[in-house]
Amino acid sequence: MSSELQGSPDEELAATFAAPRRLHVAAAATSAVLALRGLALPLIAVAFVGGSGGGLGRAVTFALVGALFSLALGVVTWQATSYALVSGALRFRSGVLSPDDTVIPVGRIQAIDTVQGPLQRLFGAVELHVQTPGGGADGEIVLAAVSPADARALRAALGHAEPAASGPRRRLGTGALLLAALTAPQFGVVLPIVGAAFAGADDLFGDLFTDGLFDRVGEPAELAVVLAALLGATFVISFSAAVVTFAGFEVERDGDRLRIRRGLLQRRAASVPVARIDGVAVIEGLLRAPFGLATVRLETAGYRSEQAAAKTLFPLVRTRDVPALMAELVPGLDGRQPALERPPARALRRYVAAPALAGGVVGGAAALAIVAAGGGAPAWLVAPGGAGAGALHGLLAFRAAGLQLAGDRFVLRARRGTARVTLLARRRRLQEVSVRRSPLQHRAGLATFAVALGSGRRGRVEHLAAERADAAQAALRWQTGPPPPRRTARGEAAAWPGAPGDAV
Amino acid sequence: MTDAPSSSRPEPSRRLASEARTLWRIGALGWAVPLTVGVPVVLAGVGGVPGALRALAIAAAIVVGALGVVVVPQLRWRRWRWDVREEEVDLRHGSLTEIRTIVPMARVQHVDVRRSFLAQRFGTADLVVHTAAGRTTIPMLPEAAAVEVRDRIADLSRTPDEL
Repeated sequence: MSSELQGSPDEELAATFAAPRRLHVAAAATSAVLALRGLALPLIAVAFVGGSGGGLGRAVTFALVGALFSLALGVVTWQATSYALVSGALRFRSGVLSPDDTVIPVGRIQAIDTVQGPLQRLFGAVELHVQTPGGGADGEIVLAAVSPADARALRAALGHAEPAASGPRRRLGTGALLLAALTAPQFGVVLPIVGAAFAGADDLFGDLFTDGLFDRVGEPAELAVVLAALLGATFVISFSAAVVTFAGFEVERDGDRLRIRRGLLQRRAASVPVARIDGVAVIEGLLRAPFGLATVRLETAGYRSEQAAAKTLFPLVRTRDVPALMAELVPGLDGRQPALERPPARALRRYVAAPALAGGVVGGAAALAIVAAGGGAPAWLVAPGGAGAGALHGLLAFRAAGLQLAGDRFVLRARRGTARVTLLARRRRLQEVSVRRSPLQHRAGLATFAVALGSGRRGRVEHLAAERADAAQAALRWQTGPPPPRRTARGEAAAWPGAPGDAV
Repeated sequence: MTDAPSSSRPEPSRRLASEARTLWRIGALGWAVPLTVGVPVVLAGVGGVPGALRALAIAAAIVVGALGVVVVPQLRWRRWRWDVREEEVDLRHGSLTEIRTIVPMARVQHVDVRRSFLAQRFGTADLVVHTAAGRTTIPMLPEAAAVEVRDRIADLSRTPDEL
């Protein structure tokens, strides 16, 4: 594959970058926009507070002055910014009044990510993020705009050439994108925000609803309209956010690296070394699970500060296709789900009781509030409804929970919120394994098993039989050599004595 | 202590410094004293509380304070066990909820020894083991032991690994 091309920096090309180079002119525009954004608030404040009179003319003058100043600043910044490749290190110099020099030895560069925002697209340039192991989400050096030809040459000179030929590749089609957006789990995240915005609007424009929203719960029609508007707004926001984030999603394996491209307004291209992937999480959300669909998330140490989208291996996939996806993209990490060691039947009661009680209490409080506000007696049904929802949640959590040690993989499944999450991790990458017994669990002979990954993801199975949890912890040993695996008929190593066989 | 029948890993056996109890007690005084003094003072200020209820509240405050200062530190100290082996750091602790934690040596990124002002007076130190997932603390070790273990972990975790 192209790993040879990729691994070794191109000396000849490197020589062409020996003299400091300016960025593409688009960089002037991007820094002008940044400056304008920074200036906008003080300008508005001055325009409004700085004295009465003038009105519109005054505002336009301020806007023009601000725009011109920003543009000038952008050009000056662009002139003061340069990069060069000197004695095996990438040097970046920026800053008008106090120039900063950043130097990264070529060997320390872990990846070069490409981002193309609307401005860069307008100018036909790309933004390069030079990533180092320990660097933040944005990259140690950000070249705000580089012409595509320069970008190609620089990548080759640094030994991170874009692959010409392609390895296995998967793209998210339009239908799948729309389906992913329709079932986006952001719904639950956006709803409270939109709700808060509605409440704020209600306070501001109280007249619209005559008085506060919740004073008139008695009028079902009005409440229904408000609720429908709330859900509609939430849906539109979460749908479009998902489309903008995942449009054109494409993942490709080029030898020992994954390249992931995505984004509608801002095209992002990131690359992740396959060896750095500690595991994946298969997330079956509330709206996706019934259709057998899931999102596959990458678990990689050091990318913890990145947003969730940056850690997505694939936004929407049939759960039964996950093994094939993994075999293509993350060879060496089996995507099949083995039979799991499950909590015993006596744990069911514990799974169900707490959420049922919590749901009942919340439902009861809501019913009380509705009745107090003048709602009818049927409102009391909310209480058992809450308890029922809680119990259902507990039952689903019980049915999802389980873990297994299968060869060099550790598999853990649990329900988190409304989603079922299956963690498939490289066993030797687990950072911490613990078994916890509360006094109540102790009496019932149960225990909670928990692991932590370098990505910050933690997985937990509640109420396993205590001796099984201990056995699982005992089986996870870290000898310096590879553990002598005891093979089963299926060829996968048996996990621990008495564990269920590996059936897929 | 219960023993998992299928566990081939030995139970951790080392304890914390015996001064840990005193240090925890001093720490607990920080909330126990305000509690036992504060409850009667507040009750006297409020007024109108029936005598029996008042006596009960004061008694409860004293009992909770005494438990926190006298019993819990002793229990916590008795339950704490740890070991540093070639391939892993092994902890078992918890006064009510028992937690056994294993940190594989290959995953240790770095080790700190922390000495608070008070801990120095008592000759103890905390050992903090950092991994990519966060940190794990073995508190209140005799200082010499903390330093010895830090060096040992630093030595053991140097073994090269795939990542």
